[in-house]
Amino acid sequence: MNPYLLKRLALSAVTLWLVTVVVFTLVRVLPGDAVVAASAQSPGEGALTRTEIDAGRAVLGLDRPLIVQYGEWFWELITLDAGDSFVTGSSVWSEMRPRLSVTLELALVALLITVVGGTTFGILSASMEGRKFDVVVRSVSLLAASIPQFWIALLLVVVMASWWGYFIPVEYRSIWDDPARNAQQILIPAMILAIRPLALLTRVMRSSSIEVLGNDYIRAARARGLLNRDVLFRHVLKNALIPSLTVLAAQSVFLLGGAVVIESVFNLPGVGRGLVQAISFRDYPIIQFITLLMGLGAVCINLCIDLLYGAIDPRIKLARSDNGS
Amino acid sequence: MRNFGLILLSLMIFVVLIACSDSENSGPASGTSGIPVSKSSPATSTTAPETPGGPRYGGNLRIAQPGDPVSCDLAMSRGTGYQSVHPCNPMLSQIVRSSPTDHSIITGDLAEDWSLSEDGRTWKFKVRPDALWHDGSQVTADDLKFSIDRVINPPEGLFAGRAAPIAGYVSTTDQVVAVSDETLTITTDFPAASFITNLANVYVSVFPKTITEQLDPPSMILHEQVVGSGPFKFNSATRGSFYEMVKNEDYYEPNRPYLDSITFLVMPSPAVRVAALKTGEADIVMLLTEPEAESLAGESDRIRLIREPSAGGNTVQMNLSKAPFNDPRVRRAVNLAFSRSDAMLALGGGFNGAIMPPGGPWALDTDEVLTLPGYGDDEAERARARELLANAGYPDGLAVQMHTRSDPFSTSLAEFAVAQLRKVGINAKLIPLERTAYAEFVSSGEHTLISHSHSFSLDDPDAILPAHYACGGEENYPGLCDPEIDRLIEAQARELDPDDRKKLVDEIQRLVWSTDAKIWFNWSVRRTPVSTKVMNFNPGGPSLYQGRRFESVWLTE
Amino acid sequence: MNARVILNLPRRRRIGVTGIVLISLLVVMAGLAPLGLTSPLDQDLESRFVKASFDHPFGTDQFGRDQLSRVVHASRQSLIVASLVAVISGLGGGVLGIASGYVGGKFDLLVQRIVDALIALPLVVLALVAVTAYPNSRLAIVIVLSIGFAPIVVRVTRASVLSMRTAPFVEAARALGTTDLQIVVRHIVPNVMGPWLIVAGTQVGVSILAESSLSFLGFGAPISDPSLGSLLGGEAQTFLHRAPWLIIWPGITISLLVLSINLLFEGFATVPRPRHH
Repeated sequence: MNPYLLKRLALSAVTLWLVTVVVFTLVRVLPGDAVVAASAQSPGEGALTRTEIDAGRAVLGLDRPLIVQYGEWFWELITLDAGDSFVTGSSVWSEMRPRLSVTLELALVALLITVVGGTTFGILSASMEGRKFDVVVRSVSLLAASIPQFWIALLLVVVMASWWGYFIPVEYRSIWDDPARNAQQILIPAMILAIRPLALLTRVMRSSSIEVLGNDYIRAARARGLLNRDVLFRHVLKNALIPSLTVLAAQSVFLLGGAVVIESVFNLPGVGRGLVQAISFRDYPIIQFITLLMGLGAVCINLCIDLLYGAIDPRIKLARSDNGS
Repeated sequence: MRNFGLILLSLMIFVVLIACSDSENSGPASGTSGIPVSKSSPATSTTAPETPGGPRYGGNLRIAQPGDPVSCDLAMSRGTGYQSVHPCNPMLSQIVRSSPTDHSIITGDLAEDWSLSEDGRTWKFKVRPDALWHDGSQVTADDLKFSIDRVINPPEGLFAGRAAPIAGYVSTTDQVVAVSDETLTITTDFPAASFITNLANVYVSVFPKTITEQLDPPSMILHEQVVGSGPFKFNSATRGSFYEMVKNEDYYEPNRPYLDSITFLVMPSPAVRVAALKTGEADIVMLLTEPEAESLAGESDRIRLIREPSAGGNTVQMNLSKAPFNDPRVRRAVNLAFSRSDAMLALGGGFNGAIMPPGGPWALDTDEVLTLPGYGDDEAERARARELLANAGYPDGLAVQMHTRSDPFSTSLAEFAVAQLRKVGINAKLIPLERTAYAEFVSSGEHTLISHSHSFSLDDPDAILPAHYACGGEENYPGLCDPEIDRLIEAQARELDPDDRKKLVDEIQRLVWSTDAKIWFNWSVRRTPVSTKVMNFNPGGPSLYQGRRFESVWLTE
Repeated sequence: MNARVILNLPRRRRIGVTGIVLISLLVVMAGLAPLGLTSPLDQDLESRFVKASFDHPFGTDQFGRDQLSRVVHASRQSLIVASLVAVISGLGGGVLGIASGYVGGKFDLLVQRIVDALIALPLVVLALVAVTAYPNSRLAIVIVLSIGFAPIVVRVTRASVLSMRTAPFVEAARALGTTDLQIVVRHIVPNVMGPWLIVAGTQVGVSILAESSLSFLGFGAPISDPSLGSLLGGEAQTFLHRAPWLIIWPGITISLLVLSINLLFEGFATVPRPRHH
């Protein structure tokens, strides 16, 4: 195996371990615990006495020393067991698997929209630099990157309901069970989620393409009719790939964050809402699991991007960042 | 400003009307012991729908609520608020229940009949022979005993929440006896006027003994775990999205339910819930603010709006052991600072009351309520409040912190409270705390002034007074500890004569009000929008925490 | 990038000018908030839910508070939070990035691990935890967002430094016996300024958006001193059908603020950067 890859993998493992420590500590900084949280769910009544709280804590194992709790969790992780939810008692994995598929689907569709739309608009805009289309694309992309997603989402739901009487069906069905309904449920949220990354990618693609098109030897070659469309396209793509990947990598991490609010507005049972709920219930195993998962995602994305950089341009060893993000 | 006297007046008329209708319907069929044992058979308790053609079978009822049910084991308080009660209740049954059409009447449920011994302590319940669990097995007295036992003596790690008052009447599980499969007796510690009322609480639902005991923990927490004996059976659910249950063909009440299925839809955003209602995606939405209700006015041909008094309201509460609120003058000033008419204006309605829900059987007489401190002329009371503050040593006003929950509803309410206090020179810095952080904070006793809304699960003195006003009560956030109040709370629980008991409760109300510790400045209205195609639905009962079983509800299309 | 380039910038790029004009307008508006407007907390229960009138151009909310005044005050709060985040994450991230890139070795490795861990730690979790643990604290939000955004700044500056460390002009300076500190100050910093300014600057816009998302989820700024996000996150959503203006105006203001910041830095970004080859 490639020693560079091995080193990167080892370093990623260290990063993830750091994340487990930080998260484990963080959730315990939160005031209250699962027992208090449970009693606090219905406004008004349901307060518990101190002895009841202590008894509840003992059942959940929260009365043990932190290091023991961490050790147990870490050991379970190594044996690929994320523990049980404090709220429902069922295993974290069975709780989170359906949510994970929702959020992943949402993120992937959004990513697809971003890549296809961003490349198309970016290159088209560059090829018509200075003309009307270009101006429109640039203005719209600047504006689109400035609008709060949840705001536009909320307005959209209400406008669709009030003006056209349309409401996205609520009961979530997976793509395998009912593709038509799933498409209705995922497409609009994914489009909203894609607005910002799409805008950023368009701008990056545009400026990279302009750079290529403005290149002296390309201009000369084009003038002599030596370059056909495909070759030109390949040049542009190659030049745009690294900055685009950088933007995409940064945005895929943010996609998950954005998913939290989008899921709330569009009633999607995803990981983001699961996370907010788990924090409110102090459901430590769930919070830790989701965080670790998101961390794993970020580490993997970064690793892949770095390796891709290397594959695309062997001179690059380390992440190069572009200004477009 | 005085225009709103009209609104006030109409609201008060509304209250009176409701109070009257209550007293007409309840017809206290008091037995020899004076304990209300009113009952009617379940079959006649549901009024026939008054539409030509009569009820229609079939259809899917869709109800929107903000979050997931936390636990269907309603008796054990693992966070079982209204979001658990409503989607779980159609699958469950109780021993006795309050009538779906009139909550003040208690009717049989799994117990088809019951009687009370001469000494007023031993209740004998006859379990109906035709009740089956959803798995087809027979409901027996053993199951009933099991369900009461766990409230009295909860399994490890579980706590009796809103069902807890039952344990106040029955201190050991030996007092609950399954005499035979069809007969259960419960012997209370003392002849208790409210025992049967508290037994009719949705939170004292009955669960099958053998199936529940096989679970770990022994508790039907998840929707999909529920094996009940209610009119609907679990069908499918996706947490965070929907909970669906289908008709139970073996339900013991003949020809019920009418509906084929009920789906509870989870929609966190209030604006989205209203949009779902407007488009017909949802037929019923659980909670609504007055402005939301107003926004539905244009849809009156499709959406019926039910407004009724809620057994709950909004308070500010002061910690009696902390300065400056250990001074009764300061507390009185806080009480006087609140204009009840401003509150109705700002919160879109409400009711005037003392400490028991207005409109209910235990409410203090409306005329007397209006003489209580806080209900007088706004300007005069505010002047008096400033005077009191000056006397207490705060002539230039006073700066305090006010804590509340950080949800939009609570913070908005607290912002109103802060603005009212500012009018008498009390500058409260508002600190909203996240739900659990707030619970932790308040239970630590660090609080000085909190803005807190309460919602009772039962409009009953035993369910409300000990928890809220007795020394050490779990909802007694001010830390009231008055031997006279405690004595009266004990006495009213044992008082079997309804009129005498009401007098005791009134006395408690006056006493508690005079402490100015927990200040009710607005009793809430509950608004439930219902699609006009939903027939025979009565959100009924004052409490959001008493779910509906929907067995008599039907859809026109 | 030197001062002359910045000064010449507006003439070259209309976009930048638009951005500067817009942002100055908004800043002046937010700065002048206390003048001529009623207090954003004053309740007037006689005029609840006024749609739009001469007295209340943006309408009023459920307590009759003037929405224009609330939006203006909130803009100021949002700008303060966002600028603080940009300054803290920009300075902290910049210094760390330059040091990490220039010093290299073990120090670089350590910094990169921390940066990796911070990137891997979801900002949402960090924010939710911090705001829950330290309620009503604007500082908590600022710190969390700064921690969230600093890694990007570190990466960008470090990458620029790396590309320059072995550049001929740096080698030449070193050969002439210039100390490391002098090299960094005279050669590295001026060349890193461009990308650094852009990446730190865009954080202002991103922070405004991030803060408003947090408020939407109920983990936002103090209610007694609302930010634009808190205006969207509170009960206003409940009133969307009854009083849409309570949602529409703050949303438009957020978009305008972020847009003008983006325009401003779009102006910077399109200015040719000085390069040493």
